[in-house]
This record gives sequence, structure tokens and C-alpha cells, in this order.
Amino acid sequence: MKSENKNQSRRSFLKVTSLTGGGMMIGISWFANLIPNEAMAHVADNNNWVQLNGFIKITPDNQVKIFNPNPEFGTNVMTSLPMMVNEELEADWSKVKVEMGDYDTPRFKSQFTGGSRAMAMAWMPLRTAGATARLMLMQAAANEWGVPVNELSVSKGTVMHKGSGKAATYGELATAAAKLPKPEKVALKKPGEFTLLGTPQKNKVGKEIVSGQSLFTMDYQVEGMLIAMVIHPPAFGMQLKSFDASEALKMPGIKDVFEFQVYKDGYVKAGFDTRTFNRLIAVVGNSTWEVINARKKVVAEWEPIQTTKEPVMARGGRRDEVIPAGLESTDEHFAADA
Amino acid sequence: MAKFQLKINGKQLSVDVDPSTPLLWVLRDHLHLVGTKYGCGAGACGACTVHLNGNALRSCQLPVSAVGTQAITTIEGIATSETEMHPVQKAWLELDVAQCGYCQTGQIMSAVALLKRNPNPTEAEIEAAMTGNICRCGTYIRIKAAIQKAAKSTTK
Ligand code: FES
Ligand code: FES
Repeated sequence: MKSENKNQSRRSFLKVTSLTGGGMMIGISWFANLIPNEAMAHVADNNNWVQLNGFIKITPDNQVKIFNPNPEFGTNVMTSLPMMVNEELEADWSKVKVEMGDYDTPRFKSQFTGGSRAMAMAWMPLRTAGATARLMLMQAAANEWGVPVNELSVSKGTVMHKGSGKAATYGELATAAAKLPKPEKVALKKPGEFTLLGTPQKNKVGKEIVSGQSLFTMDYQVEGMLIAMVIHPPAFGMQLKSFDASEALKMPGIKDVFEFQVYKDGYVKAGFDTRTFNRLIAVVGNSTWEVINARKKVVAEWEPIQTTKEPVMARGGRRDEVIPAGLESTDEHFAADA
Repeated sequence: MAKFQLKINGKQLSVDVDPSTPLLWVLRDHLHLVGTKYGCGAGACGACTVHLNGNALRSCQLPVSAVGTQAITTIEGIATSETEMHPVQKAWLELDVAQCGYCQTGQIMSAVALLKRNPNPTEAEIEAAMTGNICRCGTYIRIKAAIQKAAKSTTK
């Protein structure tokens, strides 16, 4: 979801985003407001990017950027998923830049890493994105040169016409290509035709990593940003009874301490949603250290949950699940939950 | 709140923070040097490693008030020059050490400090020096090989 409502106060912003059940990410456009610092330099560029589709941007001076849609948990999807795109796009892989995509599910569809599924789920859509963009670039060249597209070939980001000896880089073609209709159907390579997939490649963002420029979630900072931390129950199977924030609110730099609900009323939980941590406490302040200290001053009382029944979307569809009372670590709970 | 003059990566920078604030949060929150990472905040993971007078140190454990005039170096200040990386960074790239990369700036800071005081460490010395740097991705084998490679490239 996008929450870009400029009129929202910061407090309501926090609340709204925390109510989008099941998600931890915030769908706002960070890049517009990033605080410039050394680490940001490589993402906050002012180039004239032409967007061919959600995964590919090209500049008129022939820089190619591929967006990795999935979170990087160390399986090197920052390299492997863009390789899929480029196998079909056929830009010069040694020059391609890779960037982490925003959390933007309408644009990227699947943004899930886990269960060995990232590669499998990306296999068709990412290759298709690469092939679609390549075809649009070829079509732009064909229009320009007045030749049929099937007489063209591509190599390392250049479209060529053998008959006339004409050639143009993707950068030169990108602006025209972006105006063309997206092809409905594209042919994908057969595995035997792969030149990049199946070859060992180094981490595409290795340089950023070893120089501290690689940006992780915690590294995105925007002007005027506040820091929030959450207080969870001490064990699964417990819920918030009450809390006293009066001492915490007196601590320096603290803006607010409030209870919030993780799941909207009526939200149907799915696979990875936690079942019992619904009402939590947020501590919000100016800086991390101030929030860490104030968090310790919040006096929270927790109680065991009651037996509840709730709908879940699990494998095999929607069903009602009974969540037994008590700590999830106890034997009775295991027995009741079996 | 109190004002502190800090010498970081050769520059004089000033901040106005609570004296108990760990150097880690001064670097990240106040100076926006986010290459230094937060892992545990308890001195147990090494993600926050920086140099104080050239020695590796857990920045989450050092209150800013204890820094004084000592020189701080972070991952942003480790390169040999604007255009040339440190030999340890180069070895890291050649051996493709990183996976997710989260721990790697801390690993590199520890490795650089190690090679500075011991340019030709044995395997056991590498293990001893790097033991406080945790990598969830398990890149330890390549970390060790990269340190050995960097040692060779600088001692020959
Ligand atoms: S964050 Fe400092 S040692 Fe883990
Ligand atoms: S590379 Fe992922 S934690 Fe070390």
C-alpha cells in the first residue's frame, strides 16, 4: 500500500502504516526525501533515467540499471535475480548497475525471499521483463531505420542491423522505446541459449558493500525522521494488559509512547503472520539512543491470552483456527494446538 | 546534551548529544555515517567495529564522552585514496567474500586493524582476532582467505 498523504501528522502516519496487517514495510517514496550522505550518493543520482518497465531503467548516455525486487538475506538475489533480467535484456552485464527495488508490490508483484522460492518465483516474470524491454529497444531501432525487427540482432547493449551496418546503443534507443506499446507476447530463450545464467558471477554490489555504501533498511534516513521502537510481550501467548509511560515520556527527546494494533480488525492472517502479538507499544523519539533509554522506562503489564478462534488463510484456503490460551511454550499449549 | 568535537576520517566534526550516547549512534543518527552497522548493541557481534587510534573497537560500547581527541576511522575512511581501495577491500572483492554484506564493514575494520599490528598473521592469529565478528551468512572461510591474501599483497 502507498501512504503518501502529505497531510498526515507523523503520529497518524505511524499508526496508519502499522495497521497494514501482515506487512512490516512502509510503502512511501523514500528516495524523494533522503538525507544526502556518502552512502546515499550512488542512489540519489540525478540522471535522466528512462524507465522501460518496473525492473529496468536506462539513461540516454547508456547506463543500465536493473532493480532487484526481493530482499537480500544473503543468498545473493541482488546478483542472481538481475542476471535473469539481463539474460534476456542482453545489456553489458559488466556495466549494469543493480539497485534494491522499493517495496512496491504493484510494480514488482512478488517480493518474497524465503523457502527457496525467490529464484523459482522470479524465473518467468524477470526473464519476461528483460525480453520485453529488449524487444521494445529493437522495435525502436527498426522504426528508426525502416527495417523489419527480425533482421536485427543485439549484443552487449547494442542493437545492430547486419544488412545496413547500422548500430545503436540501448541508451540512444531508450527514449523512443519507452513510448512504444508493451509487446503482449515475447519469446524467451531456451536454457541452451543462456550466456549469463549458469555462469559464476561475483556479487554485483560487492564494491558498495566493502565501502559501507550498501544500504540496508536501517540505513535509510530522511529529513526530520523520528525513531520508533516497539515493545513486545516477553513470550508468545501473552498480550498487553496495560502500560504506564509517564516516566518514559519525561525522558529527553521522546515524542510519544502509544499502543497500536498490528492487524486491522477483521484482517485474515496468512502464512507468516504472528498470531498473538497484535497490540504492542511504540516508543517514538528523536534519536535511537534516546528511544532505547526511554523504552526501558515503560512499565508494561502482560497477561496470557484467552482461547480464541480466528480465520486464517493457509495452504488449502481459509479455515478457522483455534488458538489455545496460555503461553505457547507450555506443554498444554502444544497439546491443544496439535 | 553536550557539544563534542570529534576527529572522524581526518575531519573535525561536532555533535550536540547526551554524553552517554554510544559512538555508534553518533556516527549513524547524528553524522549519517551509516556504513557502521548495528547488530546487537551489546558488544557481542562486531557489526559496529570502528578504529580508535588505529585499534579495532566496538562503537556500540564506547560513550561519545570517552572519545576525546582520539582519531576515529570508519569504513567510509578506510580507502587508500578517493580512487583506490584499501588492500583488504580489494582482497574482499577478489575473493567475493560478501553475501548479504551486513556484517562485512565490521569484518573489514577488524581485519584492517589486525594487519596493521600484525602484517603476517598465522591462521590461528586470524581466528583469534576475528572471533568477535559474527556473520550470519557464514562467510568465515572467505574472510580468512581474504585476510591471508591481503597480508601477502602488502608484505611480499
Ligand atoms: S552492535 Fe556493537 S558489537 Fe554488536
Ligand atoms: S555477509 Fe551476511 S551477515 Fe555476513
